[in-house]
Amino acid sequence: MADVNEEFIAEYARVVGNAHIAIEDGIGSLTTPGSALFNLNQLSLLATTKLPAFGVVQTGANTGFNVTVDSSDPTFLRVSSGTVAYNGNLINVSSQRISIKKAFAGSYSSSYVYGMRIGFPYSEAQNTAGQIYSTVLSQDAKEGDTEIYVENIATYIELGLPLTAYIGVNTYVVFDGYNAAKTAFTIDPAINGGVLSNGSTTGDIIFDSGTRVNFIYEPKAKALYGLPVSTISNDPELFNYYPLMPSSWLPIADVLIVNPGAPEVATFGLSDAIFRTAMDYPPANSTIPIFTNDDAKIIAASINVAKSELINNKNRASVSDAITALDQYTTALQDESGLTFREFWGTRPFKATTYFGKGTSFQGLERFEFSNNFSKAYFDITGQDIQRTFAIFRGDLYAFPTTIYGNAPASLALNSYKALGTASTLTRGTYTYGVSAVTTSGETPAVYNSVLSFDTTNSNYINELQWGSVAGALFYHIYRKSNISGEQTEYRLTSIGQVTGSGTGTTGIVGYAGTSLSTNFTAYKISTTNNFQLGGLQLRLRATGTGVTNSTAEVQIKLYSNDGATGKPNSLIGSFDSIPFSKIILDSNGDATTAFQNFVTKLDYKTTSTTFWVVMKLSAQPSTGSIQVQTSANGTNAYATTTAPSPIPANWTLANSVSLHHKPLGFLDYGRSGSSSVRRGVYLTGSKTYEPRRLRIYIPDISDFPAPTGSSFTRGDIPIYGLSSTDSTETKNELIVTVVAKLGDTETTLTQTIPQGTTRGTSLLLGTEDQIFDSVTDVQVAPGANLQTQQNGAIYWSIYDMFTVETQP
Amino acid sequence: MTDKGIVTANLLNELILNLDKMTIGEDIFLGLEEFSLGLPAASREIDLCWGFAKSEPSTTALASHEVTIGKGVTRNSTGDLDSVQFDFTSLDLTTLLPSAITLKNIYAFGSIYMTPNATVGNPPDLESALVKGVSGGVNLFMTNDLNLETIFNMMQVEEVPAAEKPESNSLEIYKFLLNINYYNSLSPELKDVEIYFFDKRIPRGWGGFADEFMATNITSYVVFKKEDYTDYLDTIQQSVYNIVKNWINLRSWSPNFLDYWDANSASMPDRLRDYLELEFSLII
Repeated sequence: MADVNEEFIAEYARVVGNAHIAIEDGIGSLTTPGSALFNLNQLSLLATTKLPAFGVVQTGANTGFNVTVDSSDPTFLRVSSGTVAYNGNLINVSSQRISIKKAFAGSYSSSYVYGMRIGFPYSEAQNTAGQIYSTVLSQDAKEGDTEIYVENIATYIELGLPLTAYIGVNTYVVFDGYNAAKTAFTIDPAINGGVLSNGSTTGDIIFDSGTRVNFIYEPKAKALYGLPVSTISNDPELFNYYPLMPSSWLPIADVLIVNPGAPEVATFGLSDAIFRTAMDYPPANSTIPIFTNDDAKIIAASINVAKSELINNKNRASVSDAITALDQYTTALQDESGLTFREFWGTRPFKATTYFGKGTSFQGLERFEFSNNFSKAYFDITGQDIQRTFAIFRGDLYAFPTTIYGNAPASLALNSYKALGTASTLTRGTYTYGVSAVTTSGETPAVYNSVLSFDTTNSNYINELQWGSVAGALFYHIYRKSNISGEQTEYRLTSIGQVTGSGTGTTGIVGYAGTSLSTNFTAYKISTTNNFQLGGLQLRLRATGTGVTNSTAEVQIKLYSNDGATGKPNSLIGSFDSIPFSKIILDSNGDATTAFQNFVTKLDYKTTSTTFWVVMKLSAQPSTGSIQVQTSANGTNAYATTTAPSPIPANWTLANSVSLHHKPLGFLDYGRSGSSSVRRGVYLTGSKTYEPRRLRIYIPDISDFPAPTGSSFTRGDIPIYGLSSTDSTETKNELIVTVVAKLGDTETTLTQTIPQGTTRGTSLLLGTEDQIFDSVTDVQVAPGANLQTQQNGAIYWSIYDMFTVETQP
Repeated sequence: MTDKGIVTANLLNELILNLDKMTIGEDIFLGLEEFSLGLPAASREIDLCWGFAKSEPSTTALASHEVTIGKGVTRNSTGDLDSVQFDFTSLDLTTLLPSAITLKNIYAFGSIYMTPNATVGNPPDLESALVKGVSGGVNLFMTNDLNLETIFNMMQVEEVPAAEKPESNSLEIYKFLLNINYYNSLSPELKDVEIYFFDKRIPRGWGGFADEFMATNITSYVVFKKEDYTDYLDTIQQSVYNIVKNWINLRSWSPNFLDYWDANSASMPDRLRDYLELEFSLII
């Protein structure tokens, strides 16, 4: 088979789809308002039947749909009754009230105004006036009830309020609202005081649950609202901030509302700021029609020519040839495969994302897919939709659940610190963390908590985690959810075996004095609990002199064990991040300071005892003054100094009454690590097919991986795990897949098992032959019985545990 | 009763606006021809040749922004290609929203523009802007009374205007919709904004379809299609011209067409006003 130039084809098809949308929208049809054919039909009907296809008709001496401030309640507008012509019929629209109130989240000055636009949607005309919609009571209806509970209330709310209804055979009610839970309609107070009654005792059942409720549909005008703005004029005709109205709505009126907090219709001059925008057509029997008979003859002929040219030659505007050309190209590509057009393009392999955009992309891998507009074109022309991908699962991004055993850590405490001494990429926002334990049986569920990193300055932050230990934990995994709104991606911050401790440390010591540091070693004794995940320290430093010039010099900080025999620092455990003078001499606003400031310095260490030494020295003396660490005048043998080049126990001299101001911190996240995993491993594309079809699970080919860097495959600086170039391509684990699919509003849950060792290109159908769907709302994956596990029991998930949920080609 | 002259003028105005939509189709077919042949039909301030797709972020730095635009190449007014844009561009669209005020259940609309670099030959600048109520005014926001499906359709069919161009030679490459469930610049941690993109890019290429299968099966079609559609559009435009001409010549104008519209000039819709001047040299 010849190479397929997927990127060019994707671009070609995308542009063809856009052409289809633009041209089809321009030409349209006789029943699509806002299109050329609709407008021509409108003109043509005016010339022949004297009525528009869709328009406001003035049937009497006065116009209909007049909008005024409601005399009984000025927070409502009164829209008088009117008549709408629709496909040769006249629809009478009853008078109605429309609220001018709109709940805005922000607070606005009383001089602010917002625009309100009233119109009559085409869809209202399509819903036949007088049509009856039926449901049943979801609860008993009792004497004195003000709320009536019905099944599927959302469907009937869509019909618009007020709603006329009959409960049972002939109990007439009007609903003018619904309760907060959207489970019950409220009865209009104008009807029997807003209560249900047949004269029986309060609380007696009048209608049993299940009794039929019939709604009688009445077409209504609707309102749209803009956001408040400051304006110098209340002229409703010249206001520039009305909400956008769809072309399928008949305009009725534009209204300006002032004082958003306590709204009222604005005044312009001596009048209310209401500008009637309706276009009034005369009735069919009018003596002054839009087109006189003479005019009609002249214009009708040219309109009919334009109509027939648009309709009869529409194929010349169609992109059907584009699809034919693509079909021929597809056929030419294949030597022997014999795949249909949809099969061919629906089975393209996944490849490394090229960032030119050729299809559906998921964390560095991308598969060819036609644009939605091309799908629309394909469906409009062929009556079939092209292949649609609803979801992609990648095993290598599936960090959780592995085999789930045991309980999550009992607690997770979080703190946030300003990153004054250590660089951090965590910015302001709420971060959600999860911590799980990995035992020899597998990984536990995670315990979750959130922390708000927030300050009045736009600083960066370091977040601290401390959690309850889990018996038998080999190590812990830490997950972080981004602070980017709506992003459900969860990053695993830790590698296997990286974090083995947990628990809470000691509160540390509070200091008040300053002890100068030097280029010699100074040691301070600290205490923690055992098996504590020591992520770092918070301590306080300052420069006593202003104008330190050697700002790249730094405070070096190390952790030493305690020599039990001598009580002195023993051996090096690890190094905390050094803190440069440049950070000490400036405050968080970037201004020079000589005050003590909090610094957080990071280290990853699981304690194996309770006593340690923090050893500090300067890489160079500051050019002026000294660098001090905050201390307290307490402690016995908690301070040690040495001038020897090697800080071995014998060289230290212990001293009393100096203790380090410090706080031992748990695991620290400063945003510079992680980004390795998506917890659920599922990407939902949000596609909705134009042609409902049976669904399948497909094991797609993966023909090209992102380029490796070191031991990991990456896209940019984001590693991709679970791939070895020597892997065979079959699935590595048995996967139990649950798919929640929809046809219209009806959801169905389907399950399918993907056996371990399934070869690529395998297709597994979902549901039965007669079960067709147009979208997928959720996909969940659970490990089956046949699994490839690591020594510690965790599942070895592979990139080859990849499948898609898609339409059957 | 609305005066019949004004009623019919509004109907014809809508008809011409729909004709304009069909003209967009002509430019798209022209773009396809240029793309497949690698041959620009005209010298423009800027041509999108290839790329600038909305992409997945590839680095953690890009992932901290709301939108990533991929690599691409453009052609400048000299007819030469600009330097290839190898870097990704990250944009934050919610920063366009007003600060220190809460927005909830609001739709905002905007465009992403590509503007020729001040230094000819350098990659273009990418800029975003929100639709304003009036040039130089504030943003046009509306509450979410219309469902998303309706708004999507309005975005698709150009019923939502483009944001004002940053420069006269800027090229719109995307429209976007911000579905603001909650936003306040002072509480970024609570931000809940969905961003939807509408791809307006028309790639005009620079190398053509060198692949023999594509050249054989697609390029020939594209060239034929562009010519056929232009011919078809010419016919429709002539038909609409005839309708407008007959409308001007209706006998019932009182006292006559020009005097009627002199008296009712304010009611003449803008697009029809332009059309009458351009096609009939009639200035209303």
